[in-house]
Amino acid sequence: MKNKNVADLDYCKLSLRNEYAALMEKADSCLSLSELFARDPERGERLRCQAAGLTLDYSKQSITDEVFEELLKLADSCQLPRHINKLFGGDIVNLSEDKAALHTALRTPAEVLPDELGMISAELDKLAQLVFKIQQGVWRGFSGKRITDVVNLGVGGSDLGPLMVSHALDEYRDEGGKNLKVHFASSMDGSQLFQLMEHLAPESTLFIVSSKSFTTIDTLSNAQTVRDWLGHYCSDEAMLLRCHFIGVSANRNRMTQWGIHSENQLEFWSWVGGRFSLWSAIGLPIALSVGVFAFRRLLAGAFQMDLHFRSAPLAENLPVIMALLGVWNVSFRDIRAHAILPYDGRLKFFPSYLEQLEMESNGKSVTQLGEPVDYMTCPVLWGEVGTNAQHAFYQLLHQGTQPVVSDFIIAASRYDGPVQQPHQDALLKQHDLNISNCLAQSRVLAFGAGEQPGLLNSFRHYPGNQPSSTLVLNRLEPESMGALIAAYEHKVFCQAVIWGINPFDQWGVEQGKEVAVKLQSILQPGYDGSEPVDSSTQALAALIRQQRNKK
Amino acid sequence: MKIMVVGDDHAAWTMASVLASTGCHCVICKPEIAPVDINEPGLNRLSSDQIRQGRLQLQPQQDPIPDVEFVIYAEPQADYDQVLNYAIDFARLVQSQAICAGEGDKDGRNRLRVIALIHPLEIGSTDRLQQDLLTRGYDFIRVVFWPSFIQSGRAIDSFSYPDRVLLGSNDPQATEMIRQIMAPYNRRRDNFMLMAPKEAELTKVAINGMLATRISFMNELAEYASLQGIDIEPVRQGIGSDSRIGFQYLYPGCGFGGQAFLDTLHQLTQELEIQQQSSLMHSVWQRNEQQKDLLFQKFWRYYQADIQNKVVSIWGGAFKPNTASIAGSPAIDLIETLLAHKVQVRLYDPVANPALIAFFDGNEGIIDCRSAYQAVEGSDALMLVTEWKEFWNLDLYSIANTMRTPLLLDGRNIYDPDYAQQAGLTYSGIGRGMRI
Repeated sequence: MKNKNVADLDYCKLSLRNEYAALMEKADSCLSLSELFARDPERGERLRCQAAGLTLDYSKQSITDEVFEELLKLADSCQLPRHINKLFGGDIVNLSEDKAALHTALRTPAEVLPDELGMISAELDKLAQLVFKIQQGVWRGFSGKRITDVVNLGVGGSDLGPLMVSHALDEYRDEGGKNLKVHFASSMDGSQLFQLMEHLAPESTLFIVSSKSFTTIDTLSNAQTVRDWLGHYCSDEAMLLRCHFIGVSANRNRMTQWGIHSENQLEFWSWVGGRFSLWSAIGLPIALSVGVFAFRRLLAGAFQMDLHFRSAPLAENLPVIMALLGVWNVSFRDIRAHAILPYDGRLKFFPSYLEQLEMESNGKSVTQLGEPVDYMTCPVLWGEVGTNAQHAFYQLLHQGTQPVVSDFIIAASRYDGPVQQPHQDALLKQHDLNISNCLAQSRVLAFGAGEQPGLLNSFRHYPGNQPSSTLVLNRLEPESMGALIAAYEHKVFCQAVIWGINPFDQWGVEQGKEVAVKLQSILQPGYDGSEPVDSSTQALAALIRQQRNKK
Repeated sequence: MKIMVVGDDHAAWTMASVLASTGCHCVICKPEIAPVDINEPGLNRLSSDQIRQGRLQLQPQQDPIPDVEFVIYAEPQADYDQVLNYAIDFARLVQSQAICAGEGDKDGRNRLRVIALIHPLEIGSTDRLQQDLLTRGYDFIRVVFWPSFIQSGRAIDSFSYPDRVLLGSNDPQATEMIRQIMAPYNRRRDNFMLMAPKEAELTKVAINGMLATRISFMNELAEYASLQGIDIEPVRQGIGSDSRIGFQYLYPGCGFGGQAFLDTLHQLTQELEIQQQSSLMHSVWQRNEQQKDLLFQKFWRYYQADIQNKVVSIWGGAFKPNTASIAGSPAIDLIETLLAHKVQVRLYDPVANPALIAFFDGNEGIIDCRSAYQAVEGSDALMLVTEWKEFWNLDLYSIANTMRTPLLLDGRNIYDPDYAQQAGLTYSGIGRGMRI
């Protein structure tokens, strides 16, 4: 680091900031949502922010104008705008790994991309060519047949993002994508693969092996399994590798070592974090299912959000506001749970995508400089399609003992396209019903119900005062999807800046991988007890060895 | 009788010329394609004769003529609205002209006119058109469905000596008119089949559906035969010898085609899928897609995917022999695939070369060859796609010698595998010869 003092100031603990105490005090004297609305009936129209086809309504968050002002001051004192510039400028923002985080460059149009990042558009063009070949049936399997199924082998960032977007944009499938089925297999135990191999034809199935390091054991063990499987049908190993495997990685050498044919290698770079990588060649399954055109629209939408994020003043900056509200809720109001509630089946995988994006990024307890923090950082995030969650965990939101903040996500228009279907009216009605459910739930969560005079049934009492934001997409389409994801990415970044932590490393995950490698030996039948492990792990391993011996 | 023919395809020219030759006065409207371009045996001569004798007249615009009694509507690509608009224009014209000329019977009604639809539209279209005209007050027009079974390559014969004349009509006067027109060709025995328009519409598309199903079934058998080392040819003969089945349309091959055939098949598939989600026709199509790709797949397997910059000779590009038409030909898909893999194509078809070369926009990957022998020079594989008679008895020995790799992929099973092997060729057909 060139200037230690600047760095110290940049990454200082939130609790040392001047605004910390003031905000703590305000949090203690927070009014209920009902009172806030009673005092300021206009807040529904006022507390709103729009950008890139998205509207954030945050009127049902427990903040007053003073709190908001104070939060903005906090952002200022953290020098958030300077951090944003550093992020986009390719500065080192990931101190523990000494890396930049330039995922935003991946969606920057080629014409405004600096020359030294020209490889991004070159790689995107290569991706487009591969997609064309596969979709148009030029790519052939070992028997000369066209590819009918593509299986993405990847985990974490190489799985969740592509899976989530492919599912969300399914209706935008282009002609080429309609002839192709794209599957995802991530779990290390091979159970998804096991199911897929039951009904896939080896001669017309293509595998994408996606791993940033190309060492991820989960993915490589899946890849090895399918390689063996294909080997039963095609004895020519070179042909099998050439016709059935595409590699996506930041490590060309390892792809080559594994056997990925040089023409089948797509590259991204060490400065792209795995959970920020769906914009790169990792997005290949998205482009295969919805087409390159829609994939580029997705990037364009994210780029629109980037432009907004870089230029809008903090008080009108959508990702910044999301971040400030998050910090306010968890670090000051001690709300440690955050529910993601898309009222749209297409966003089924969005909660699990965000679980990784937010919790892997900001699930940290030391600052960028390694100092332990003494405040809450990332809350526990989880979620589900809203209407399904209503029949699952909403009970806890309404009447449980945990304070929970929620993000409701809806698309204003749907089923109104030019293709008239006989059941269109019925679908439109369902969409209305769905939206009215979303609005009803956020309302009951905020204001409660059941306190009418004379009604003494405490089981029917809904205390309310659970804060929430509602994100409205004009329409769920590639651009707005890109903008939505980018908004959350930037939210995560801003929060990390305020908390002083590093959102781009994941040392906790690394540790687990290392221990797993060590523990493999204790499951083997002739294990000699030499590995120094705790009694619980010893006992579990012994139980499993015994059980296996029985068969 | 004065007949107006709308359309300029192969069916339109055949009907206009043949009917003119029986003494009808035929007007063919706005022809963009001349018989000479259709390349149908005998058609050019017949139409020229009729034009010379004044019975076949060409009219530069498509506008209806009021004094015709009979309109043959033969625009293959027209949709319902186009047909309706045309029929309305015609009816209006007849009406206005009739008023001027004081034509009509004693009640002032117009003389009857008939519009015959030749190419299948959605099932029910004939009745719908009739109804749409009636509701507009044009009660002097009768609409019938008179499907064409004209086959390219033998168009004149297939129209003049048809297995049967099928007519979908609800109107006795209209029926009588067509009976009269076809009388010269209906003498030996009466083969006139009359049914309701909807019935005729379904019959027409179902015939093609059945033919396609037979071919796809044979192709599926051929694949099995090839995997089991069975020669499909004696099997085909055995199946065909059953009188309930017969020999027609039992040839396995590298895919069926022909635009009109594919169009009606597509229409049938759509009708069935809307009504009952037929998976049978879907399978028929899928099988045909696989067959169209089969020669390429064999080529790919033979060279273990290492095909870039190889040279392939293709014999035959027309969708069937004796026609210059390439519309819907399996050769198109095959050439497209080969070019996409940077394979050079040496193409020879007795008549369809110009059409194919134009279709591929003069792509440099295609070499325009003047003879079957020239096409095989220095090539790595020969693919026979269309079974023109001139391919049957060529000198396979000399061909084997001229090729760089003597690999013969026979998409129509016209050669004897043993003889081809003897001549030094590696021979693989559809369900016979070497399994590749």
